[in-house]
Amino acid sequence: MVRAGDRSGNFQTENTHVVERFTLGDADHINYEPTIVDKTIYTRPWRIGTVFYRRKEKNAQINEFKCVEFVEELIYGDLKKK
Amino acid sequence: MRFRVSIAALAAVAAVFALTAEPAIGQSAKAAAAAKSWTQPKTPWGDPDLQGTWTSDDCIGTPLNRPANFGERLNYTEQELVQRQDQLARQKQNDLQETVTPDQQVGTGPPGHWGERARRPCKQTSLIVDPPNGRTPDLLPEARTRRIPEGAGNNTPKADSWEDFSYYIRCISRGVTGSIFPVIYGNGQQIVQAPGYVTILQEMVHEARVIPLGGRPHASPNVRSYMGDPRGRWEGNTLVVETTNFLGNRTGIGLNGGGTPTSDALKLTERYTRTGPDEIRYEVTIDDPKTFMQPFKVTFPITQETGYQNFEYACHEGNYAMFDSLSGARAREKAAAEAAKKK
Repeated sequence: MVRAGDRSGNFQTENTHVVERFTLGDADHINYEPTIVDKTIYTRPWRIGTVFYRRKEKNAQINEFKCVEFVEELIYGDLKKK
Repeated sequence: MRFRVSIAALAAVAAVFALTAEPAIGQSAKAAAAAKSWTQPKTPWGDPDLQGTWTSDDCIGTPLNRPANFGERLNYTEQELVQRQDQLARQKQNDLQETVTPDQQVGTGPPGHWGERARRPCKQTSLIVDPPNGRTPDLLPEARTRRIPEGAGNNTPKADSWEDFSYYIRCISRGVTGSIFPVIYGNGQQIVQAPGYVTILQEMVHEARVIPLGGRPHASPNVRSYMGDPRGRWEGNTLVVETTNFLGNRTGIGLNGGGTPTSDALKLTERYTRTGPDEIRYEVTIDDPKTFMQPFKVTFPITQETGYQNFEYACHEGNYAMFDSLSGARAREKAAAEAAKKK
């Protein structure tokens, strides 16, 4: 099955093989390089390169991500009592 | 006829169980001996090591609130434990049958073996251990007026909107206690440690509780979430986690986050104590001065099991109950309106 693999409209299937490389560039940077291989949809392997930056704020922490409440209208809206 | 289980086959299965099923008493003595020779391992940086994937499966089916007939008795007798061991063996045997026998009445639920099962009998008559009657303390008057959503213990359900349903049914959250209290599936807790942090990855809703250790203050009271803001510390070999900053009026303390929703004053104090190579004693004190008359405490073991791992949680693709409940309610209203028109 072909599914959306990312928000840019690239695809992935059950044959998709991803090798991610996380390399510390220096104390506060990670070079992130995933290589995507899927002969059933891509003519050749391809690679993304991006940098992750360490959050330096005092007490930085990842906040909770609760997305569902913002999309329920889209998913079930037509079934709500009018 | 091919699928009907013959008496001979049943007898053979029973014989196998007789050989492999150890009585509960022998097993607990063995576990006690293993625990005696065991010492708490440490991480390379010196914290007690709790890492691994743990499950509350063994207390599946144990009620949160103790049935009144047990009074103040927390633990089953040895004889009752043997009976429960027999029940588990029978359940395991039933799970081996892939099809039902002809003429047997079946419901709409999935076959039993799709769920998770206890591997050994839970020793407790209830998950609540304090107060001594093993029951949730009385609610404060204000808390009694809070709406309990459909799917969380509501006896007068409506399905006007998805918002009438529990946060569990909506694939949003079961809250902290609902994410570890034993239910029929999805009880996995993967603990990963790093210097200064303990992370607990929960199977259901794939919640990741990232718990900073060592005196870091809680976030501002203005920052609130379903799973709250946890802070951890070590007391000896026990991990103590205090969680505050909850959103009010979301999930309750029942199984799957059901029951009366707790308030924004909720404070949970959890204690994780590894008692052997494959067992952690889990304890949580629930203190919500805007909901309950007094704090109360829940305890049960979580265990490490060979081959057990967290599965991916993908709730929405299969959440037909929401579509069906809402569309069913709308269809019923339409039919009623048409019938009224004909009159």
